[in-house]
Amino acid sequence: MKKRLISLLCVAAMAVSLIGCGDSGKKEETKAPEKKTETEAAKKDDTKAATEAPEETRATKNKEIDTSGVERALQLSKDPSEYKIHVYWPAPDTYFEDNIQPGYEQLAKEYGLSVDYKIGTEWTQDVENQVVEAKAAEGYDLFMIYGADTSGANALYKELVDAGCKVVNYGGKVDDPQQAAATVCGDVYEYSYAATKQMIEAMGGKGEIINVLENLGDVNTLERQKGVEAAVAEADGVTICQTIGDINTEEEGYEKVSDALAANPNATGIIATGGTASRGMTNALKDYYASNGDAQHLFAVATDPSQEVMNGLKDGTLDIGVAQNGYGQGYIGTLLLLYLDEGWTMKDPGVHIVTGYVFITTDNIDTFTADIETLSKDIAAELETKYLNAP
Amino acid sequence: MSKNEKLSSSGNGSKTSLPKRFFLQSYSSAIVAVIILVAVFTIFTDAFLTPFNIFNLSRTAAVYSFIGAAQLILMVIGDMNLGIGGCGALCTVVMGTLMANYGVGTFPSVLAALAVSALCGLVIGLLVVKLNLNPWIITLAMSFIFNGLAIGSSHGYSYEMTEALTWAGRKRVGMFSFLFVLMVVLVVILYIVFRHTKYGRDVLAVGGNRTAARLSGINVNWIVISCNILSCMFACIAAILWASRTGTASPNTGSDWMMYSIAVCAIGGIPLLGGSFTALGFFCGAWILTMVRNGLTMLNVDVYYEQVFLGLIILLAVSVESVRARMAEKMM
Amino acid sequence: MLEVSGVSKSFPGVKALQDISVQFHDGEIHALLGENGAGKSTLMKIICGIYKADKGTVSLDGKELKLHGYGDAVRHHISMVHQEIQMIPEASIAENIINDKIAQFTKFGFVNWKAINEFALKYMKEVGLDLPPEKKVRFLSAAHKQLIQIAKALSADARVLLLDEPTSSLTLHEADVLFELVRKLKEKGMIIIFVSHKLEEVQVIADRVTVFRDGKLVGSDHIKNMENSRIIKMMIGRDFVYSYRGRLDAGDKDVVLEAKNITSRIHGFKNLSFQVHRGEILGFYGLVGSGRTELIRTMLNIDKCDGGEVFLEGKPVKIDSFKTALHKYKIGYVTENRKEEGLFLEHTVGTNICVNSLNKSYYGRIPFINLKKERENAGFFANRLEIKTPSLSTLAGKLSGGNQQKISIAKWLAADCDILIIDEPTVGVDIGAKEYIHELIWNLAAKEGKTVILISSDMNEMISLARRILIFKDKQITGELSGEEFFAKPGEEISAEIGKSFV
Repeated sequence: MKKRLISLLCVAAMAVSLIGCGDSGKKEETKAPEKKTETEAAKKDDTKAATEAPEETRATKNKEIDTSGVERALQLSKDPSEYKIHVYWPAPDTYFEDNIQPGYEQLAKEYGLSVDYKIGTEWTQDVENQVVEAKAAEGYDLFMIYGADTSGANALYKELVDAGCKVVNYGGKVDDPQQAAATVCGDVYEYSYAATKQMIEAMGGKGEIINVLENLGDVNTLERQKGVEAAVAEADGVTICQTIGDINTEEEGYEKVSDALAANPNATGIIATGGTASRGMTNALKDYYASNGDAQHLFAVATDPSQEVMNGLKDGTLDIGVAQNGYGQGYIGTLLLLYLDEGWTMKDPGVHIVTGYVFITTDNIDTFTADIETLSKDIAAELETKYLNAP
Repeated sequence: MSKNEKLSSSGNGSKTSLPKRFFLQSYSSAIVAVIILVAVFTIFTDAFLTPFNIFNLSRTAAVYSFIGAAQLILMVIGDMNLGIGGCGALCTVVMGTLMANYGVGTFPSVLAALAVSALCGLVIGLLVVKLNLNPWIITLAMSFIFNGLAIGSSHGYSYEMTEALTWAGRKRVGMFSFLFVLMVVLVVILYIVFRHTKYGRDVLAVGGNRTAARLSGINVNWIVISCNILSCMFACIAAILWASRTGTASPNTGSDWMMYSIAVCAIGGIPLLGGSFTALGFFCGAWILTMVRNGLTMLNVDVYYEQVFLGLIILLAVSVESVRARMAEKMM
Repeated sequence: MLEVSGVSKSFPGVKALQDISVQFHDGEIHALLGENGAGKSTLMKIICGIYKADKGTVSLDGKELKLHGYGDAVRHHISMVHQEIQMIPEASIAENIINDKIAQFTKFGFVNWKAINEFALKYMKEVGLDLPPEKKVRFLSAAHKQLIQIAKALSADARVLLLDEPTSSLTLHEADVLFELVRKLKEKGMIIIFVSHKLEEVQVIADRVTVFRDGKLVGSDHIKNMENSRIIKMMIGRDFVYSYRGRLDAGDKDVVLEAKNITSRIHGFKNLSFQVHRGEILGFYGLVGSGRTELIRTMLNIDKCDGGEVFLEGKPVKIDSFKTALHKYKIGYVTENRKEEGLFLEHTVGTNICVNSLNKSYYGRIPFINLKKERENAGFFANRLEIKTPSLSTLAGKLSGGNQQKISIAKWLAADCDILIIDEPTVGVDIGAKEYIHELIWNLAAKEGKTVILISSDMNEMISLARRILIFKDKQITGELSGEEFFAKPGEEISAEIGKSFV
């Protein structure tokens, strides 16, 4: 018994030390993203400094928009600290930290708010409900939530609305009837269609395309597929030689794209309309060119400005990147919550406020974030007239 | 003395004909399956036997073989490791952090990742042995811990790999990838260990009957702990190979390894209850899984139903083996 | 009356039964005897519907039975108590008794537990089982499990009860209880068919004996006309002569192994000591659970040792695990349950023989196993012990009990063990193999000078092999019998003597 106890202690100590190692590692490693953003920011500053002089117009335009927040009819009636806003994202993902977070943090800065956020452990409605309900119990009453399950999320929203909370759905559409005050997200059909159009034009109106889909359990995937296929149908010289899908991780994306490339040596274009699939595709393409001497360059379109996609654009692996306006989702979603809390009402409850997208090419790779900010401020300026009734 | 001759010669089975002897081996169905799959995919697709695809297949099969080996080494003693994916993710992150953020060289980073995986295995092994807990529950718990550490310390960001590492993933050796050479080396080592070393025999004995193994003077605890260490180290090697292939180290590595590892072993004819091993069957298991996944893309089957075909082919492979085993038993 | 007429059954390559006709009368205990593979079990399985006969009929009370599986047999009031008892360990006694007729106790899909327990209790009383019906079967002894199986048979209104080696895992006392019960059932007019290897118990309990050899019926007669020597002659086809094996003269040789004051908390014994001399066969006689096996397991630190010293050739040694005992001190231990603790049933005969001695098959100094050498080593011991196997690559689980036992002895000889501890070597072994194993053990001590500790509850085995016997009772050593003159006496006298020291 004694021996067993001692061994138990040993193991416990080892487990703790392992976790300890992990923690210390974590502290050091969290520097990683910071560093990256720092360097990126530094780079941005550099380019800004370099471009500012010749492009004064853009700088002045930016200034105007920064002040537009003040011009809103929205008046805060309470101390900023009394607005209890919570933002929920269903699972660890760089997209949230890179895009959504800067958006709502910009708004928080403008109004002096503090916005709470939580990232779930896994992409299920179950975990989402548990976390959000706990937050509601803590006293938060303004929620911006990415519905993990397109039908299950509505039940959660209804519950929150019945309890007197204001809810904005973001990230992706949920099923009708809508329970949230509004949905703030891009239109996946629209950008898939537009990106394919752009691609077909760049390919000179002919060629064969591989269509890379993502998680088939997600209704958005079907919308993206429709978008791509609609654009292809309009062009006479272009066909889809293969559609691959059921990609839930980068690994799967990598493997399936590699297989598809090998299967279709005649393909001249490839498009991925989901973020995870795009990362896998970028890696697969890079490897395809590096390890296959006869490989011809494929015209490639990827989605979401992840690190991999940005690098791919820089080194020429990719030709077009589609940046969905995550920044705008964060900014507009939280702004909408402020309006609602101040008594403004939706003209059309459950409306889909489309946040749009920006194409990234080598021309605007260093400045596209500014484009996205502009796009977001434009939509924000329309909120009062287009979507809201004053109290 | 005539009896002596009878016993030692019948051990070689020289009396039975060659096809029958082949049929009696547990790997025969896997080999036949490989041949059939190659034939089907070659006939029905254009690009299956192109040099690039062969190169590609050989790389993927190599990674799958290491993922499979991580499960195999525990399956042989009748245990299971549900944490290999988590362990792979953790090792990827450790290696990536060292390379990308601290500028540590390729070789020391790889060694550090291997050391971390060995520690992971040691912890699992000690928990299994000393607390006498069910390995399923422990490895399940540990898989959460590993995944959490990987996601927590990386926040989901991927790391860029060094040139030296991606070289290994892109190097060709003849028709095949350099990684395929590693796979062959792995299979040969496994073959030698389980056939020609006392350690391998002891592992099989523990899988066959733990009590009898202990009463045959085998240190069962040491075998269990060492197998867990090896399992995690194989998972780590798989993670390194994967990173070398894709050129980035993603903390999401390994999320579906558990299923694939079991599939590789099951298709390769490794019994879930442990006690036996065939190197050739295992080798074919990794190839079958790789070829099926590649071939389904090649055949351009409807993506929405692809998993159905994957499931059907695995089912077919396993049931053919079961029928063969029953027939072989009757023949013996 | 149950009548079997003209039954034949073949398996691929084997004629298991050839034209068998037997009558089993009401109120009669009918023993089936024969070596392993003689066809007794096949006949039992045909009677209770598990196998179908190729030819011939089975009829009960004049009506021919055409059974489809065991469930069908139970419906025709034929029940079997299996040798390897198959029950649901996590379910209660009552559940195990009623599990094939749970529908009777279910209303609208709900189970009536009270009725189940009352029902079970009724039949448990009938077999003399005084336990709560809710108790889980996992916690019960083999004897109790057997009684539960009989209770289950009774609850199905069994007219025919088949018992397949019912006493193989029971102690003497438990066997007596079982016999008492079987006699009671016989008086009720049931047909009882009984398979056993133990002639003593057949003499005690059976009314009629039928002997099988190689799938054929050799003879069937009333027990009065069947003395042991005749039965044995029928079974093995030759005369069995109990003979005094001679002197061992080991008592005055050096003490090889001495255990002093061995203490175990889990087994609950204290300060047990013994000595063994070179070339001696020391017997540990006692019932299961009397402390004989437990003492050995504690001494070898297989179960935790809480105190005591071990001396090897006079020098104190520390046995911290069984691994040390084997590799450092060359002590071998043939366990009592060869299937659970001794053999790797799914591994080949060759692997099993060589599992302890792989280092002997190395390529010289390089620690890699030379398969050819390994096969030679295995073949050598397989031949030496006359292990009957189609080849060395046959799975050990496919061999008969006697050959399996030979493998479990062979592996210690292959590992050059000087001290052999052999626990119940002939349980479940047929008579021919039993005789061979006795001869083998004797020769190991007498001719090769190995030191043997023989643990057994078989009196005949003890007397014919051991030349010094320690008697174990209630976790204590209660007596010692020794002296060559003593063992030269006739067997009956010796067993009477041992019986005395038991009281």
